[in-house]
Amino acid sequence: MKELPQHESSAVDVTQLVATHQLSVWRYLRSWGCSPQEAEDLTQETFLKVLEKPFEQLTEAATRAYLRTVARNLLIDRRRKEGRQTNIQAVENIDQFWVATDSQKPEQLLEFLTECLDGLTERARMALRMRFEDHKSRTEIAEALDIGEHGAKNLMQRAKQQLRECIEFKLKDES
Amino acid sequence: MNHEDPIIDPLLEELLGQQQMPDLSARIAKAHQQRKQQAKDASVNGHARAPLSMTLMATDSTAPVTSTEAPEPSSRANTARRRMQRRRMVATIGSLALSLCLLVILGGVAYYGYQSFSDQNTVPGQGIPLAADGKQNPSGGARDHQAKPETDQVPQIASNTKQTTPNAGMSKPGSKMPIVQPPGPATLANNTVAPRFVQPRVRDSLKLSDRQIVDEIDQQVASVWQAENVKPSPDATDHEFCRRTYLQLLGRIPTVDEIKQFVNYRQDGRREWLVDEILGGEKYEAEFASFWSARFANLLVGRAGGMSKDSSINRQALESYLVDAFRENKPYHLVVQDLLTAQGTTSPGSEQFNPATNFLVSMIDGDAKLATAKTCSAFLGQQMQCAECHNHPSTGWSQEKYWGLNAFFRQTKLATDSKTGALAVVDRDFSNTAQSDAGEVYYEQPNGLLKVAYPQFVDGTTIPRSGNLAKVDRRQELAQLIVNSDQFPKVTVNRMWQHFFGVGFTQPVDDMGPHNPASHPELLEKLSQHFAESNFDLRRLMRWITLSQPYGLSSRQIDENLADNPDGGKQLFARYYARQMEAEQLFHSLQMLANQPSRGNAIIALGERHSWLGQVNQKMGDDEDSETSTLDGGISQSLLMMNGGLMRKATDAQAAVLKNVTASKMPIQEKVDHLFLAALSRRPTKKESSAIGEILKTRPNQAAALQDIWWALLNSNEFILDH
Repeated sequence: MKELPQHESSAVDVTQLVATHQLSVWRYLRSWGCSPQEAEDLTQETFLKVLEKPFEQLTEAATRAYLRTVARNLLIDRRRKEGRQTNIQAVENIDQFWVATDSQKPEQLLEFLTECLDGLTERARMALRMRFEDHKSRTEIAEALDIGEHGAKNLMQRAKQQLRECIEFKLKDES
Repeated sequence: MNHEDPIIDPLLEELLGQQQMPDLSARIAKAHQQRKQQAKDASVNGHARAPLSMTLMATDSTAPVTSTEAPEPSSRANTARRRMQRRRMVATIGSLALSLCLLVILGGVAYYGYQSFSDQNTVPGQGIPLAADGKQNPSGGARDHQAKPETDQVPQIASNTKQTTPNAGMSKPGSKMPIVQPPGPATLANNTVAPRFVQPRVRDSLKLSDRQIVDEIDQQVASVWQAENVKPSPDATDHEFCRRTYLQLLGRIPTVDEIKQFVNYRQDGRREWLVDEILGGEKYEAEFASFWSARFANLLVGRAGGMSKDSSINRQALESYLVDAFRENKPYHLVVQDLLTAQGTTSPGSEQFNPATNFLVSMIDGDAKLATAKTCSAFLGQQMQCAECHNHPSTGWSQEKYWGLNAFFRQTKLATDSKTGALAVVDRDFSNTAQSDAGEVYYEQPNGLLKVAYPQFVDGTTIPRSGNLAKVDRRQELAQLIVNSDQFPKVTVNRMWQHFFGVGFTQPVDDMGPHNPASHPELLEKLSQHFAESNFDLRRLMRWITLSQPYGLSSRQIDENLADNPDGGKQLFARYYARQMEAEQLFHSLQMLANQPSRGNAIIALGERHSWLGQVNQKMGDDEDSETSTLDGGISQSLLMMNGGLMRKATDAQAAVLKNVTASKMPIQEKVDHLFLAALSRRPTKKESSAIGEILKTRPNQAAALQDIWWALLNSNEFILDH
């Protein structure tokens, strides 16, 4: 088990630290399958854990990476205690994605997503809006678009894949 | 929602589904400060800092939180479990070995100490008596010396335990806030008035006549009798009705003249006449207002509130305020708004004097938790105090709701008036950080997580979050939300019904909700609606209830209504429930019998009433503001009744009623009748008359015999009964 270096520098501005990084920690936990409330709780725990010892900010990216590691370990520990398993495919890809966002401000990500959404077809956009904005079931979406349920599923899967690729491209491009 | 794409799905939920993260900066900063403080306190006490695991459930000391790489939960769970088992085994063996070493060392030390003590203190031939000797006490000596540091450690350990207990570490923001010292009286009042966000609710005006509403009550109650297959008891006699109506409306038994006047009323509608005489007549106005002010003061600050010298409540001022409110028949919702929003000093002598502040004054300190619970139980009929620390298991009350309600009181502070030194209730801006004026409230969940709450009414209504008084006056909004709610008139009707019948539609009256359904939900609903439409007119509500059929029934149970069992939780109101008089009713009745039989005198003596009731009721001093009363049918009550000062005064030969009777030229039988009427509001039965006749024959001193009879009547079970 590796020990992280303990910095002896002066205390950080807690409010500033939290304000800057809370959103990326919360999103990271969400991508690990946490509900919004659970992610909120764990974000709080993450910062408290990190602030237990003197902490020096080297770079924004290093701080975020450190926060993500602590958050993930806290989540793993919580899952162990609950006796729950969360199966997540392609964990490496998740981490790679978040590493790629380190150079961006957290707000930028939603801007990318909005732009990428505009690039989708009208039907795909409508399907995603019905799903995430109106909380419609897949059956309702299928009925509205006059396609089968499998068709609706495929449509949304493809749309999300496009979105992912689009965002990753933008992240690469920006960096 | 299951995520097909772990990254895109949550992002879409955030963008399109508005599942966004609230700003946690202030909350985390606050929690961090608390942790630091706890750690500091622990180190000051010479003990290790409060373990984080006590407050961070999900983080134990073995969690690899500082590592950069963690095993995946699914693939390495077994390895981790084995590693954990090995660690536990090593720890167990280690602690056993350590304990053995300690035992050996302690044994050696004890032996050495014993030897050296024997060498220094024992005279040859005299040993130190052993504890097992059986005849003598074990020696102190070295043991006492060693025991001292241990006893010194006890409080230290206790205090450390307290700090590390999750509940003890509960977030108490503001609990250490100093009492605000306003710079001058002028600052007690707001200079700027915040806009109102909750508008007064517009209700229909009452279209039904009183008679129609009384008929509606009768029909509703009768339909339940029919459904439950019970029959009502016969009507109460006029004497019974007269006694209970005086007791319920004026808080005392009727005088002999009043009984005679009622019984001799020859026109139709005798009962209606009596109720109107008391509720509407000028001659009873002061007495009525005085009794009901005491009743409502009990509801607001408890029977013992303001009775002791060290109490912050000026009960006399509060009751005076309520007296005025009842005299002018002020709509009840306006009274409640006054009480909830009052600012100013609690006692006269200052320009800022506002007697209504005496409701909240004792409940603001300690983060206004008492104020939250009391407001909820008194005006919303719900017991919310449990939710301060945990979600209620059955009522659906969550901690979030409790603290959301509590947030309405957090602008309110205690202060002292710089001129008079009187205690004052004032409002101030409330915010936790300089960056934001959102006056959030922090609370800790049982699992140690710190949460945040903003003002939110029990039905989920929110107001702007600002704690800035110029922007939002939280208490004003709360008062409006309460009186606008459907629950408010229901609670009032339920409470008033309980006053007149001894039992409300729910038991207890301040625990309403789906978990405790009302016995007559439709009646409660309709009556509440009528009450609200009458502009919250308490006198009209009293009139409806006292003229209803169930109120006028006899208290005698008949075979056909045995199922009517309020003690078993089934109140059908098929009879009037006989019960012991309340403390105020007993005091007023005895006071009247001791002084003048004319009206009003019993009630004016506020100071005497407080002093007598103060003996009977005491605060328990718990966090629910509970009280205890000695008027519980026990020995204390019997002693108070037989030997108490007030009873001695009422049974003294010079007492008003007795003196009038003994000095009068009435025939002896009439004198006895008069005493019976005065004490029990009825004439003696034939059996009682003949028994008393026998007593009188054997007693040469008629006045002394009548005094004994009078004493016996006042100490009878029947006297103290409201039936």
